[in-house]
Amino acid sequence: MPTIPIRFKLNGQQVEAVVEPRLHVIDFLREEYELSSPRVGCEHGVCGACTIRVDGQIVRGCLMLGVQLDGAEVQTLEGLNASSEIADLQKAFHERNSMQCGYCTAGMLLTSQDYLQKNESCSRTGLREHLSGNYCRCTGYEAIIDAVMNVASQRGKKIIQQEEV
Amino acid sequence: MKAAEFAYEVPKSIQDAFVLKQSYGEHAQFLAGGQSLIPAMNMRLNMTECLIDLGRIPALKEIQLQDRQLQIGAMVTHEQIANSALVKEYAPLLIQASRYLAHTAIRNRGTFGGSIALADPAAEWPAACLLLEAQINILTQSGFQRVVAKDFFQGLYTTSLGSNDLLESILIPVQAKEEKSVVIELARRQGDYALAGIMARGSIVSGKLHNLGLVFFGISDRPIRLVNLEAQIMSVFSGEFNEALQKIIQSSLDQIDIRGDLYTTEKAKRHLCAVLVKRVLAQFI
Repeated sequence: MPTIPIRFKLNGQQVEAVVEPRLHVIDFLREEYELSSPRVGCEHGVCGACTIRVDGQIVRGCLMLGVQLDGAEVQTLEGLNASSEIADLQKAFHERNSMQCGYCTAGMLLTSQDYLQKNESCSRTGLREHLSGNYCRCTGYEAIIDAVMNVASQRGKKIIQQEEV
Repeated sequence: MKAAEFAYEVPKSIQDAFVLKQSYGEHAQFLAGGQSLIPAMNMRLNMTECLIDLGRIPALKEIQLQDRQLQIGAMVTHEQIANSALVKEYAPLLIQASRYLAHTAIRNRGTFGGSIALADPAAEWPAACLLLEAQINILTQSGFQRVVAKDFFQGLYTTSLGSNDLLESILIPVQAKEEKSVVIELARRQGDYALAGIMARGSIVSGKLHNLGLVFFGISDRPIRLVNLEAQIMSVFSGEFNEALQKIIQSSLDQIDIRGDLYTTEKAKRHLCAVLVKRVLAQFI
């Protein structure tokens, strides 16, 4: 099968690759670059375990083709970890025990960071809505919401108290 | 859960994309945001031989205001619509609907045109286009065609698009300033497809309800507009919900083709539709 040459920025580094069109972004990143944080979960856009950042926006990596990364800027949890961008979130997840098996965690961290970046006022309900596309089958979500809201307070966000539905 | 082999083309202009499609014919499909097509390919429900990616054509990514109409390019993403000042000003119903539309990571890639071309009966944009009387701009072998939403959506994942046509943009007439619009969806989880949903528009002028529009989605093989029910409600609407209204709604809903799905029976959906109309009317009181 013919492959297509692409160039893109991966966690701050310019890289080049040749990629088969049928390969989705997650298989491509895991196999070509041995990045293990983007998970292969449902592979049809339901679970959110494959969440990565492309050109600053979170996307489902399993619903994007590797070839579509040409010219893009890609960040995975490895990149966010190296830059310390979410050190406080990681610490809060650890402290609040917001994971058990850890399979969903990379996606949870990226989506939570997206919520915190976009909202100056944060609420548990708003956060739950934002995280509604990410499945966790261990924690029951409560610990994840606690951790992210703790970080929201630490980052000086306005916390809106409202009844959860 | 891995797609079968396929070739990949990335045209830089609408013309190039169209020419490519004519040469591949039925062996190729256009790729919009990929939020439905890629999963279908991962599951091998769709095994096209070639994808023509429309993602690098700037002309398809624009939202413009022209002659009292919003022109939304086929490759405008859901998130672009949700954050557009033009849409907020001239077609606020789309902003209201976008709130229910999937999750941020999907909204960042999924497109307006892709959703229209797919014609999922539970999706928001086909219902919104039907209610706002949108027109679909389509590039065909014999030039540009404009199809009204009512004629475009023909059934379950079925539209008037020809197999080699390219959906270029959607024209949405500007909503009147005094018009109020309402979108309500009943779903088990934020961002899920609706068990039943409703979109409505109308204006109250000196106590009377005018220009009421009602479209249901997620209940049949396509979004459904109930013109008769709209007229009957307007004729008896007195600013309060009463038994007469309840009767009209019930008898009208009894006549429409509602279809259950794996999770929700036809009977439950029929019940939810009545609940939705009631909630909509409460917003006009």
